[in-house]
Amino acid sequence: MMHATANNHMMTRYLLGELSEEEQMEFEENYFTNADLYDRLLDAEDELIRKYVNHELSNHERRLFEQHILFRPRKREKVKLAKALMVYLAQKQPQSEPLGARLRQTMASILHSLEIVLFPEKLILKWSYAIAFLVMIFVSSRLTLEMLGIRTQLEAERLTSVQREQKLQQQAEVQQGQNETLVEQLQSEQNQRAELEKRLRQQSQQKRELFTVGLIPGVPRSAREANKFKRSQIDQSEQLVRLQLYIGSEQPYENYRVILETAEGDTIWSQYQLQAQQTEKGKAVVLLLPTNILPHDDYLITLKGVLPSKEIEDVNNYYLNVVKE
Amino acid sequence: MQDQLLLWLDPDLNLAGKRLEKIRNMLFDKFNSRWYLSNEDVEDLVQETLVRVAQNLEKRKEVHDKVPEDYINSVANNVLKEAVDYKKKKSQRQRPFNEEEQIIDQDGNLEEHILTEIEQERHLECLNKCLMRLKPDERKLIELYSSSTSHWTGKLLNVFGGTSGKLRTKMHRLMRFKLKPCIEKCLNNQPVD
Repeated sequence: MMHATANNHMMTRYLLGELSEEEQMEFEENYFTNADLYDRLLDAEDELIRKYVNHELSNHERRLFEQHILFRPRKREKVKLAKALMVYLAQKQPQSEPLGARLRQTMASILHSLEIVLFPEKLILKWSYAIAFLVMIFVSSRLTLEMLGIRTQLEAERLTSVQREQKLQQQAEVQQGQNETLVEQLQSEQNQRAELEKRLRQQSQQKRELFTVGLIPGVPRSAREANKFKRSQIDQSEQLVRLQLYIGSEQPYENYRVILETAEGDTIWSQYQLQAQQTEKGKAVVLLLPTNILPHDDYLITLKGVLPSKEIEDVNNYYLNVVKE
Repeated sequence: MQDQLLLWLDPDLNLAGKRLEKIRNMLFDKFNSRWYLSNEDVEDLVQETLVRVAQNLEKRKEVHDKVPEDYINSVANNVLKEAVDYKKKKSQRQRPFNEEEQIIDQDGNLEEHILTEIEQERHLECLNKCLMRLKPDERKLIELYSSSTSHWTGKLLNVFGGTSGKLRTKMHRLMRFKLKPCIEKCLNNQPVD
């Protein structure tokens, strides 16, 4: 037996003729014996009629209403009253009311049409929607995975690029440091050259021959004896003294470097980019030194050669002794 | 026979009459819901049911002990079944349209033709008269609810209080028991209270 508290949906279906014969008879048995249920059925009918005249029913419900309710004279009288009330209220209210009702009907129709499309009754359409949905999910998943893969790859490449950039920056910094050192050496050498040229000009003006000392490499006793001169041999007015550092005839070096140190190991003079020259006694690297840096003492001269590959090698050491008197 | 029926419903004939009117409405609703019955069929079947009940009241004393609505419904079911069997024999399964009552509009705007111009004029006149006879809050409820969308707005609930279900019931009962009887009297040129 149907429960006495039939809901509004059941009552609406009854009024629109959508219940089966058995359901109808069961429902009628209930409202014949339950006065409250019958009153609620009448309320539901009045509500349905109000919706009809206000265009709030879907097209489907509207059709059923006209077939099952409007068709009956007694019901049609109720619909006439509801329609008259609607017209009466419309005349009292602003013009936009009917438009609102039309809009509501249009919305209801659109929603009902959507309902038919999205939730079809035909099985084949339901299956088609299910298959289309599954295909969509599959394609979406594949695209998502590919995107994730591309994103991971891009991230990896970005990291590699950052690392490469950092490495290059470090190399640039090292290179810059080396460049600064070379620049300092060049500047020092240029200063020395300027000083020498100045003295040379002064010497030339006086038209005197430079005091020249030829140095034999190594530190044997004979070399030490040869690589000696008296301070007094240098004229007080002379600014420069020429040292000739004898080297072998076959030397693979592009140019030479000379470092002059005291016996204590202090470097007092250095000169780069020196070239070997042919002298009366053989090939030699000629070095011009200011006389004021050689008061008296023992000195060690280191000769280095610069290969074409820019590698630097020790060539010879020369002992120099400047005697005071 | 009619008197016996009324007394069976209630010793107070006034109350019996109201009860009988309600039972007739229920019978109409019952037969109306069968789309395969014409309007004449419905009228006939309602009448047939009440006549048969009255006859049984005279013939069979045990009927007096039954609940009137329950018994009348069971008689109505038998009447309906006979009518259906009859129609099956006569192969009348299509909707029996009455030419005079055919109101289906080819354009689908059936609702536009519910009220003729004259009817509308009369209805509006009576509506105006009968709405003025309601209490102000009753009139306001009918006006607001009838002109709003199917969902209750906060405005309506704030004005009247209560739940949407109770307000809907109240509105429909107002229409059915106060406004509609007044309008029917007015349309029939009877004095309204």
